[in-house]
Amino acid sequence: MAKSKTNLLQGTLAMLILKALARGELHGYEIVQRIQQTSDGILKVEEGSLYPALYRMEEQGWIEAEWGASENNRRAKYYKLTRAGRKQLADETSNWERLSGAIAKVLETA
Amino acid sequence: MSIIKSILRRLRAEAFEREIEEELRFHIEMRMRDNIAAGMSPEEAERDALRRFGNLDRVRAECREISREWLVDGAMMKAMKGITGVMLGCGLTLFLTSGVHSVRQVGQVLVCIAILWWLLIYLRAAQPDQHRINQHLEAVESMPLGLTAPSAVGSSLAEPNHSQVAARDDQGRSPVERLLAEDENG
Repeated sequence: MAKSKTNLLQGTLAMLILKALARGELHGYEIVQRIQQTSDGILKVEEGSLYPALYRMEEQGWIEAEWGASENNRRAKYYKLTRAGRKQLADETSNWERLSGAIAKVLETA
Repeated sequence: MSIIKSILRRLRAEAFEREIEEELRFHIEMRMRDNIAAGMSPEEAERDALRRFGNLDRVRAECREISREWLVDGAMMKAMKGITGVMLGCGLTLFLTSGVHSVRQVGQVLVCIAILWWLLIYLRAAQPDQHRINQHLEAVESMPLGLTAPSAVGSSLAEPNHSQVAARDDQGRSPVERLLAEDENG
């Protein structure tokens, strides 16, 4: 079976990052791992693209960052949701559910 | 981020560049660590980590660009608004407390300058802020998120070991819906 690659709807990367951070602070590598593991390896973040997205989201005030010690005692930059980020996540989740529900209805139509 | 943090970062531009570098390197080294734990040689692990990361120079440049916009625009705009407020306050104070003809004239002039400057700053700043926000949101939204169905045969050590693509679970949920429905409490 040949590999196939599908680009998801635009705008999902920010939503998935916000969701990954909903449980607590993570560094960039852990965010990638969280998304991959929770989706059983099906969703793969282009790893380098994560960081410009994180920086833009921090600028928007949806997340904030702080340097700390990782599990192997290396210095790592940890990100966590702000209040604005939680609201943004709730809004985007609601939009996604509405959109995917509408698409599902169209596809179900014979 | 507070204005003080922004200004300190601006002054520590070199240190901030090093932070970007340190963060990206940390990510690559973590990937290498996991690859070696999965059985790769150190050379293979590094090659795979860099391949997965993508163009390191491009990512570095993008992060620097975003940080520069943030530091310059954010801190400077807040400083200008602060100065405007101070000028307005001084002008109004002089205007209200002046009892001498010449001082009153000075106060009136200061008030006019402050009001004009305030109008210019806020008229100029209000629209670009929203425009810049929209640009940034578009930039985040335009980043592709690949949904990859791994091959059934000959998957490499770097790829997850799937025998089939389970796009939807037994509740009919897609991978994104499963992720969103994840219980935040454990």
